[in-house]
Amino acid sequence: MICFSVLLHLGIGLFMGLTTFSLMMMIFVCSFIPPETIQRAVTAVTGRLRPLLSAAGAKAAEQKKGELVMSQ
Amino acid sequence: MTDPTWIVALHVFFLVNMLLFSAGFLTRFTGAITWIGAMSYVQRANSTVFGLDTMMLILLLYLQIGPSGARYSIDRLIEKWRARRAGLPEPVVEPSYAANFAVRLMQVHFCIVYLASGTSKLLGSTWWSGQALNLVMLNASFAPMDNPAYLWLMKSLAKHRWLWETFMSINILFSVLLELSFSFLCGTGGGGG
Repeated sequence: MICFSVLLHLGIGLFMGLTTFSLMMMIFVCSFIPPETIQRAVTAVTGRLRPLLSAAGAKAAEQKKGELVMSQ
Repeated sequence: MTDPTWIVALHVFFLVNMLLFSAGFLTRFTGAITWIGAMSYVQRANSTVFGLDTMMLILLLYLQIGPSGARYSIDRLIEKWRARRAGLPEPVVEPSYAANFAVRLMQVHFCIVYLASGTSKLLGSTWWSGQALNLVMLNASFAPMDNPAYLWLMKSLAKHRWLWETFMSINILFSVLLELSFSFLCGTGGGGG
């Protein structure tokens, strides 16, 4: 039912030009998604992003260390 | 107050508040100010009030009842950072009655909106004759007629009467049945779907 509702509002947004209203209704219908599902989705996304962010952070720290050695 | 400087200052103040509330910073305060701001816009700009504003005010009200910034917010990040600095374990987000109540209010209100929308469609003659969507989808002030893809789709559908009628009838049936049935297929129980 949630998917059908999203589909309806996607149609309203695309075919009738009521994009902001449709967006608001899609956010409203998100209240029907169980919290566990949202938590699982967020955990999956952050789980994939964390290694990337930590790798980028480590690379930046290494670069900074290298610059410091060069300046000395 | 009609001084343009103060009007702009207030407008910027409310916009910044809305941005902070969206990010979940000092949620309790920014949330209340956001609601007051949104309500003020609706009360003072009657000509621009639209379904979007009504739905937004409903959502904003319920977001004040629940602990909106409890989990995914800047407030939560600050809370975790403070705990880390004090050498304490990461604070746990406890299940909240207020959160459950607020979400339930949103769900019930959404069902009422859908049911009212569905039943009011049943009273409209254009929904029974199959013209309701024509009136909106071919209305230049609503539909994106300046979009070539949209115009091509409408023209292609209009070239075949049976295709046009089928497309419109299916969409009308889909809209009305979904709005009428949503409340008893999705509005009760665990909130799943």
